[in-house]
Amino acid sequence: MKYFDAADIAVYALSYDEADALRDFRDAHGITYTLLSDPDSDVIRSFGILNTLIDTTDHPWYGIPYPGTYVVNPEGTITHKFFDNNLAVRAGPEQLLRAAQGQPMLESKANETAPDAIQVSVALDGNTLASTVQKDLVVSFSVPAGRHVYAEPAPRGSMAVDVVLDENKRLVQRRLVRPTSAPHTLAGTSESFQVHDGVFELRLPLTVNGGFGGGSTEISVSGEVRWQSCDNEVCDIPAGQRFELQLAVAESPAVALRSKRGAVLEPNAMEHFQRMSERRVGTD
Amino acid sequence: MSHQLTSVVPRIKENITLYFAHQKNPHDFFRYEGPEGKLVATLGEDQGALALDITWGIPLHQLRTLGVDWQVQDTEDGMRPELETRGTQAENGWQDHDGFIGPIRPGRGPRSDPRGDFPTGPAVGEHIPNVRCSTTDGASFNLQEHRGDRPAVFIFFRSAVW
Repeated sequence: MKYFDAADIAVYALSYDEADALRDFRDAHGITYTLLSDPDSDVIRSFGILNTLIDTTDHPWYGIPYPGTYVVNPEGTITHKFFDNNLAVRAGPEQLLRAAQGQPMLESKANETAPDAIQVSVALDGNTLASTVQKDLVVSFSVPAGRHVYAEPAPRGSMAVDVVLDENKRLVQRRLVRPTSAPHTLAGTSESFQVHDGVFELRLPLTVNGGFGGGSTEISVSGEVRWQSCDNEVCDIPAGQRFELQLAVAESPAVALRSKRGAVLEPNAMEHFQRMSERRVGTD
Repeated sequence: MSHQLTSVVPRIKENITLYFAHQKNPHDFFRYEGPEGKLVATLGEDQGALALDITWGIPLHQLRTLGVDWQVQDTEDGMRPELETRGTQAENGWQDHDGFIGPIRPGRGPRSDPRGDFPTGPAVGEHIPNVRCSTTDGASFNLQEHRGDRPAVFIFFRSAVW
């Protein structure tokens, strides 16, 4: 939160929990941003994100939203929004901070290579991975002047820039975020296609899906960055660069109803759960 | 007799037609009026159902009804996502297609995830609707007043309790 506070970015989080339940949650976890109570799901409905897949009699679950996040600029215009089909997956703080600040590219140091060669580096935006919380795997390109790499859609028989992870059942990835490409027309022809040049980055949203055997708190993220570069006359054969990162995995916060540690932090959680269930059954 | 219904209007929709018909008394109707950003409706009396052409509105299938038996029909089909039910039973619970394990089977209760497209509310480029609700201390909250001219992150989450 310190980065949000330093940038004077307001942070709000709303749920259908009662105010006193949120207060206990806030106090148990030292939350400093604003928590908001919407126990009748009025705000959730007004935004049009009530989870209507849940039956109206299925308590206490009915009334929850499709969880997601809106980022707004100083004028109140929505500039980004983050929603995922898996309701357990969340946008990470680095993603939100970057969106709220309108930051361009992550600064990263490219590997030292010979001049006139494409430089590629891979790094995580953030210090750790955490279950359900997304972080971006950032692939930074530096393309020498006079050259470009194919963007999507690449011409038939050519390869667009891409990032392919090795299979890892603990990793949950989403669609690769690509920068805006530019049209390029081959000299002497009318053939045009999309390319990237100069310095640009690709972002691959990642999270991990939960417990690790044997108390492991690290995960190996490996794969290959692929591209095909050209100048105005000649294209190289497709190239690739492998990478492997050893990333720390942060411990998940204790959930009060599912762990002893959580129950100690929030001793009233079961009482809140029973009350929210009874209140909703009573309104049927 | 009059009722006041107020609700935050989350997004602008062009040329939708609202039909309001009281299930028990078809002679009652909603008269729609209000400044941009707020829907205010007043119950009055008239013959049959009244069709109103308005230039903005809310997704009607999600409009909360008052204590009276109002039936609100929308001429547009609301988005009806499919339920994601893929999952397998694991040693310590139910695993969904992304590998997350939980005590409840995918496709039920809090794990009622949508498959494919689903409603995500106001679009990028739209103004965020104002939010009026309560804080953890039970005080009234108004997003526009509280935020002022600061950039903001507004998170909707399922529950802090479970």
